Amino acid sequence: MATPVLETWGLSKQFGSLLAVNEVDFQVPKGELCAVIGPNGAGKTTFFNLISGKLEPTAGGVFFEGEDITGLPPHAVVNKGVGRSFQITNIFPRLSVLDNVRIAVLARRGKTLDMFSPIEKHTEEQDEALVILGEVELEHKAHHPTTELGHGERRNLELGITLALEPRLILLDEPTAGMSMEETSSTIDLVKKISHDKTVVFTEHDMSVVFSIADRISVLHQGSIIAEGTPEEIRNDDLVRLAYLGEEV
Amino acid sequence: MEGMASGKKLLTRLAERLTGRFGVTALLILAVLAPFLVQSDYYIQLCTEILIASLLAISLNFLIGYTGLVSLGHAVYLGVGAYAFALLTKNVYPSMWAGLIVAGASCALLAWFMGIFCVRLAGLYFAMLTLAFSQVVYTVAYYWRDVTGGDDGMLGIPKPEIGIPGAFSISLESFTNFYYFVLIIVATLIFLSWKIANSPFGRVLQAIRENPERVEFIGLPVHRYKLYAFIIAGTLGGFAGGLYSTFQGYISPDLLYWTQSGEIVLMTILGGMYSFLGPAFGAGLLLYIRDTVLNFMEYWRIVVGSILVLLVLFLPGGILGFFEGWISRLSIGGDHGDARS
Repeated sequence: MATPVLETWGLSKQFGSLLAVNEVDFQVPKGELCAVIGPNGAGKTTFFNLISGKLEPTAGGVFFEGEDITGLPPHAVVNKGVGRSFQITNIFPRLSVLDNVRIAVLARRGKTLDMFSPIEKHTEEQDEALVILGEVELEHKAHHPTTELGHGERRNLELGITLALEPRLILLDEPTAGMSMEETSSTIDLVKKISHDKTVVFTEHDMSVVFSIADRISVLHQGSIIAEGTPEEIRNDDLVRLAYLGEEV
Repeated sequence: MEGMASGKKLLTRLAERLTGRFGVTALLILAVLAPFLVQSDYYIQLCTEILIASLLAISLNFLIGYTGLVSLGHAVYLGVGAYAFALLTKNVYPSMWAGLIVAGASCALLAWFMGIFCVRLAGLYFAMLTLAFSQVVYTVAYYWRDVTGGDDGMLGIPKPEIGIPGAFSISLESFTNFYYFVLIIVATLIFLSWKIANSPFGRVLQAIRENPERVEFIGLPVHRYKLYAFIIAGTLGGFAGGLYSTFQGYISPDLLYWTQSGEIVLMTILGGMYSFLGPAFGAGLLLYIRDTVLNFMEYWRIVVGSILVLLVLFLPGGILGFFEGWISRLSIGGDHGDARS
């Protein structure tokens, strides 16, 4: 079997007496769209924080394309090829929409230490940023301040920033959090499009979304993975029904 | 209706011109003509001091306005730059260029050293640590009498002539010559700052101000970028210190005291920290108020303090910041006018 894009072995995080993530073994094969679900407080965001370097695990390891990235700082993890978006919209509010994405393109291309040429002269990066803004349907607002964007548009902008890094693995923490039905469906289309040529791991609270787009689902409960499988398998798993899904599915 | 719209458009265009390249050119021409306009040694001196303070305030704004780091110890560079210039030109070799380079370089080193500790912190902790460092340096300058002259300070700092030895030389003893010398140095360094502020690097600093965590997650080591900003601000501040040293001919540890740091922060806030030239405008305003009010009473800071209170309440973007905001609102208003007609 080919090396999985992402693997964790015995990954654990303890906050005081709380074991937020408990010996998680997790693999994502290349090209898969994988969902991590679980009730509030199950440890989904902590799990993402451990993979992306925001938190250091108390035990266990994280491997990206076979390489040990455990404990690397976030910027180093990004430079390996892991991009992430956040549950709480995480953009640069007082920069223009274009600059939000442009800065990420410049960062990926290693141009951010350039101190003496005007940012507008980097036309290649600007064009690329505009293409990405087109993908997230914000091209027409490129020169507006982000304060003029609606909630859904800001979430899309954040996704654009992450895409600009051209990551091979994308972690999306509740990409549709707080969105209207309409916004949710357009963002889900976007996530599906992205997953054509990238590996994506996402968390989501909307079960209809999860079951309609995920190739595989892992269920996190009190810090441990209690079930893994295709949407069909998860739907029929008694343990999952008991712990989480209840009457919903 | 149509007449009003076109009038608004004209006003908008004029306003945009004033803040753009046109405005900067006009400002530069004004600066070049200043000695002829004021026709008095006293005001030429004041203009010189304003130029130096402008550089100082713009250098601090790399931290406050661009990177979002409120430093309360920026006077450390004014002081260390000034002492470095004085020590070199008095004790080693009286050269203007060597003095300025040593002033800038010593502050670059100092900023690098202090920065290693400071950039790991943010907010109030960052502010407190910069304050603490600057007070340490103040104390050293105050008590190390053999080198710094203690609280007596240093007197007789020269204004070495510039030129090429053997070929020609220009004396800087006259107020006008010295003013032009300072203008050239300050304009060059401010131009350089402007280039940095508008480069990809400058935009990263703004991004750090907005959201340091996200910058880390686009793959950039935030601490290192903060450190670079810290060193740039310190080096430019050091040049201002060197210029101040030769300008006054006399320095004392007061230059390093925390109230001096506070004054530089005031300049930045008065003029507007989100506008590139705002701090320079604030520097000019502060020094002008000081000089005018001092003629009537000793407590000029009361006037500055009152203005500051009003500003924070009514124009939180600073004075120049307010006008720039007003102009951009005006242009949006102009567009609406077009849409309606």
